[in-house]
Amino acid sequence: MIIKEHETGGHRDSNLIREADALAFFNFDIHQYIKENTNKRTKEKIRFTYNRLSTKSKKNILKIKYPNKIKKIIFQTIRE
Amino acid sequence: MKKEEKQAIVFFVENSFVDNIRSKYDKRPIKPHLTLVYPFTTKKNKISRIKKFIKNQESFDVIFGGFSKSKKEYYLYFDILKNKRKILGLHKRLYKILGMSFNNPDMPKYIPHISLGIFNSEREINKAKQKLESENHLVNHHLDKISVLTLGNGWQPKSILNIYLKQTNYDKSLNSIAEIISRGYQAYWNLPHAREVLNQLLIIHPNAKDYLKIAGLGHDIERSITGETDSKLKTFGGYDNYKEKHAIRSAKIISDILIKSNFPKKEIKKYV
Repeated sequence: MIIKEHETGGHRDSNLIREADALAFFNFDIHQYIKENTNKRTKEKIRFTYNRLSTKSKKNILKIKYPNKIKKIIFQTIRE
Repeated sequence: MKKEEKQAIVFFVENSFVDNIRSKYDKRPIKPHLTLVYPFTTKKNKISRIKKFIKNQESFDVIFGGFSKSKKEYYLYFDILKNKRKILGLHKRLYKILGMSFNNPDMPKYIPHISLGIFNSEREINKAKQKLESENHLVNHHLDKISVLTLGNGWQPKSILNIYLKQTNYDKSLNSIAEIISRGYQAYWNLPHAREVLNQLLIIHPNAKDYLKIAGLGHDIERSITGETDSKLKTFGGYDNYKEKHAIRSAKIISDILIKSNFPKKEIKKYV
């Protein structure tokens, strides 16, 4: 069930993949994503992915050192 | 090969986090690696014994995490967090085959590590170390290949002999998944993403079993085959429908790969 449920979570293993997937976005993918998508789409993706994170990871991603443009859009989105 | 040419036995570690740090702090003309044996010079018969030994070892994962400093000079090390004992075992066996004792003038005692940087002062190295420690980054490396290098000036490899460790079912599956993604749609995006998810998985769960690591790498595999992304949501009748179909298709593809790699049915059921 792990892969089948990796988007929704539900079990310990599928929750882990979902969390790792979301963390990969904030730690790595976002740098490319922002270049290829509109601000509106990027904000939707940030909101969707941020809401998948555990409370601990939500705190941790705020400590990541981003370039200003990315930092701004993340903070704007999660405060909206 | 000339007698005076130095050789080394290493394994290379490909990772964007390591590459970024090295490009900043270590300009030597060799890719990021962990040294198992250095320096030595040997004849062909010893190399064939080394080959035979390495080929008989099963591949395994090494997790790097934490930083330390060299005893001599100002080298910044990326330390091993998981399977350090196995690396030390390889190191000892290779020296035994070569009939040598560890004797590296730059390192009084063998410490398995990746060198991330060379600095000019205590202040510089401490500053870099502190910065890296605040990021708490772990890197997973699947050790399936060891290389014997003949070195030129300043660690520039003049020749590289790659020796592959014994492949497990897990290796075969990981390789198949990575190959499908690398040949599929949007590989420039999908492959680094898959690798980063695996990396993040090991950060939040360092003891993840093989089946979880396969899921980490392969969870989005259908995108590489169909080329469909969430940019065409109307076709799927909304985001949730798209995500559901995507997950079901990925699970089916991974299940097929695992069947081909002779995974037990019980294990495969965990994915689908």
